[in-house]
Amino acid sequence: MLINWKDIQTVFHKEIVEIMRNKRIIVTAFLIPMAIYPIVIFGMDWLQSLERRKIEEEGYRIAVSRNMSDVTDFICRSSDVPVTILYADSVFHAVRDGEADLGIEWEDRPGEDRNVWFFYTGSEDRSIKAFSEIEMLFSDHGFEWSRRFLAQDLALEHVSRFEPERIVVKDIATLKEQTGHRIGKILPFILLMMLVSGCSFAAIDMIAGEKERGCFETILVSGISRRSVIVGKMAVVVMTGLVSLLVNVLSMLIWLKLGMMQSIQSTDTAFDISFAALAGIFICSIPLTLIIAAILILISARAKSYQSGQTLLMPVTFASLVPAVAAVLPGMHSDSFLVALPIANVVVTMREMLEGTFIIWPFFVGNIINLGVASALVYSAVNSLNTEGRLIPGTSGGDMDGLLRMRRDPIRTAFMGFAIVWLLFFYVAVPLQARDLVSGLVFTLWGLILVSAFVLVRIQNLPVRETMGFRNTHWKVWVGSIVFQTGILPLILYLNQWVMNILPIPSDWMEAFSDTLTGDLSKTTLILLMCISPGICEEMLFRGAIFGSLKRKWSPWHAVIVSSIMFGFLHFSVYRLFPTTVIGIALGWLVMQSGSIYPAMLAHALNNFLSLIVAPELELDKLSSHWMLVGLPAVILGVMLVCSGSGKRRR
Amino acid sequence: MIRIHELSRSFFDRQRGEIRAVDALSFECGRGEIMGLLGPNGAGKTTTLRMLATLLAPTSGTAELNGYDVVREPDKVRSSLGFLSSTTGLYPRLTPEEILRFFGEINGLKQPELKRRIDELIAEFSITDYARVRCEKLSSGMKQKVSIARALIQDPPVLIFDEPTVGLDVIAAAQTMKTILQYKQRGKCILYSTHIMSEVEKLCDRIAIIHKGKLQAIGTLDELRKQTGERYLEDIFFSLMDPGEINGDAATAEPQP
Repeated sequence: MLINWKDIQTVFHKEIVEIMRNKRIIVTAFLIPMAIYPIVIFGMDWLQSLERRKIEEEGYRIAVSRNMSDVTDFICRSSDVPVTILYADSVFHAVRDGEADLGIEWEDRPGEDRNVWFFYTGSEDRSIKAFSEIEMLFSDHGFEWSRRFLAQDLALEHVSRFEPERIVVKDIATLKEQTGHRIGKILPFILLMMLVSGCSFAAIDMIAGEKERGCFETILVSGISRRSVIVGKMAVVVMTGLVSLLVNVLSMLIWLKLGMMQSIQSTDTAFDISFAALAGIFICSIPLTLIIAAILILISARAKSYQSGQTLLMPVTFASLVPAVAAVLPGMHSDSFLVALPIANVVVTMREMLEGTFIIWPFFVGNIINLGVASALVYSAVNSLNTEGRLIPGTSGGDMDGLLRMRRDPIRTAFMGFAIVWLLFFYVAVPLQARDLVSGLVFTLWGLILVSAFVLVRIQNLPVRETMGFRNTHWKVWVGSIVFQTGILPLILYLNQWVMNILPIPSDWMEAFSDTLTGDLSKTTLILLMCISPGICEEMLFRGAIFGSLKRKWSPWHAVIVSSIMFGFLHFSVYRLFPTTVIGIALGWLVMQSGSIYPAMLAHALNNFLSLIVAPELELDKLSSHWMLVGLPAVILGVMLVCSGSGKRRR
Repeated sequence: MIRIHELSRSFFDRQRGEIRAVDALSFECGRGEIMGLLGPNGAGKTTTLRMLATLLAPTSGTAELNGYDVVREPDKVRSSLGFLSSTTGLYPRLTPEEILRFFGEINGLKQPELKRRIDELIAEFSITDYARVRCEKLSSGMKQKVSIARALIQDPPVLIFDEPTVGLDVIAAAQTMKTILQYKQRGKCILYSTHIMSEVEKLCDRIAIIHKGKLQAIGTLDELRKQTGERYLEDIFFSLMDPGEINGDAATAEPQP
């Protein structure tokens, strides 16, 4: 029995009834969004008018350097707000010390090229307002005032060239586009938050909450498949999220349309979202909701109680906001790598829809990618109850046979170990390397990475020799690994180029990186520190300790791929993630095939030597794609040699 | 109806290593019989019942319920089973009637059979007065009645009760036991787990005493008396424990939720 639609319907109906009777969910998912917009809009309006009134009552304090009565009279006469003029020896200090909101200083030297200085405090709203208003007066009446103040110490016939040309600034974006741009930066964010909060209470209450109340057990011992239970519950989570989202959008539209943002409406805001944009936003919310619902179900299935569910949820909520932040950064568009990043692609598309600048193909590609990710997550969520430890709080299920004799779960230990190394690497090793490259690298490789490898093996009580793969191998494997690694180099270089095309490396990064290579280090130091040492130390950690731990529970390929991704993640940046992961897989294969870590160490050192020292000198990094073909025979020959050599060892 | 053979279940604990919560347990329980599962806290009772209810997988051995294997045919096992434990709860925001309808539907009952069955159980357990009141407003005795009715909704041939009287007052506990006896007379196969001696003496046809996951003794009360030479169940029970355990060094082999 896989999935029974009748059962799903029954579960769905029961959950809907329960949700409708749950005050907490009704309030957070539906009532708060309905109430929050009028409160925010009225509140903002009220605060703004309050501030305006205060300014109008108190007026601006403007410090000037010397008596220029014509100009100060002009300011006092033209400003809507009362102005108090202060005379100060140092206008700068008067503003700095808070005695004045704005300072104006005329340069004292005679002649034509004299400047007028405005001083204001950019961190204070009042000062900013004073500046923008007075400066506007000056630019509107520029000609008039310049003649006036110049007339005081210059003959007017000399000022023909000084008449300021009026600078007219015109934003050519339509009002709708400007507003869309402003709202587009906030709205997708609010929608995402509301979606997560709308879904989360339902998801946690339905699984973790039921576990706590003892109701979950009863449904699990009934004649209904566990998948039907989860699908039914997930449908309710998705529905709660979408309804909450819809309530949000509608509530916001209604309040904005009702013209409640009078102060903004009257000046420079036109709020107008087309029906098509709304429909588009709603369509791309559906895969997003599926992703969020599935993640929440997965979390909730792990939690033992409502409270532990909420605790687990916090980091996930923050994590989901990270890609959303990336998407509202300036210069981000949907027709870039962002399209492949779930959540970020939706946020950036929503923003573009509100701005009216959206492009159709990333919309489709992004939604298809999201649907794919959503399906994978939904699939794992639906199967999440097949692990019995998640069904009944307090029982640790899982593979008993392989684990019993060991003190720790190897997978968890490997991941925890990697996380600690990663944190130490970024917070300790990288700053050390920045201070002094040589000692920093020695510490990183021979201290942090090598010690971590042994600690990881030690705390699991694993046999060092076997886990690390300290065993000799056939000469064919040695030769094969050299040929294999040399052959694979063009592929890596090509991958590097490909990644750089998609994700161009900022040029200052590139310079900093090549500085370290071509800097004041001698060739010998470079070879020792960047080729041989990584070859030994990184291999011991990734192909030794981590791969050795992972393969105790996982299949060798699974362990190779995961340890390679970790290897990729330790290499500084997103730019090097993909190529280093590929190198990691190649090296992992060598270890897996030969059972020995030594050929991988040699290959790793060789790879670094070829790509860091030989390739730049021969300018091989400007390869065209058909260069890859040159490496292919070498790769095949290498694979054959390694396979034949490792076969001999086994016999 | 229930047949357990060499059933074992181990847990892995970081500090203590492997824990054999249930260790090669074998027994049978037939139609119209109540089998009492007696043991101190952590003896392995709940783990055994959870394996029978397909919530936990056995590490080794086999268990059959109504002729279905718990590992190979879990869905059929669940359909033939009514399960009630002291930790099972009710949906607080649903009414007893809604709960019965929900469990009836997911156990495959169709109208008008479903309605007939709900009315029958509501009458039998005298739930009528509060059948449409949300469960969060009911007393523990009322809740227990609803829970039992919930376990019986599809009229399953096998019933498993895991310490069903925990937290109930004397009257509610007595009512619960009376109901269980009635269902025995209707030919159900009932497995009743508890650590309360008096309940076992009153209810059970046969008693299995387990300790540290192992079966210590099995038989009718008379058979156990003969086997141990003790008259009262309490003395029989103690005679089967290690002397050290009784002096306060209680076994806690089984992880408790």
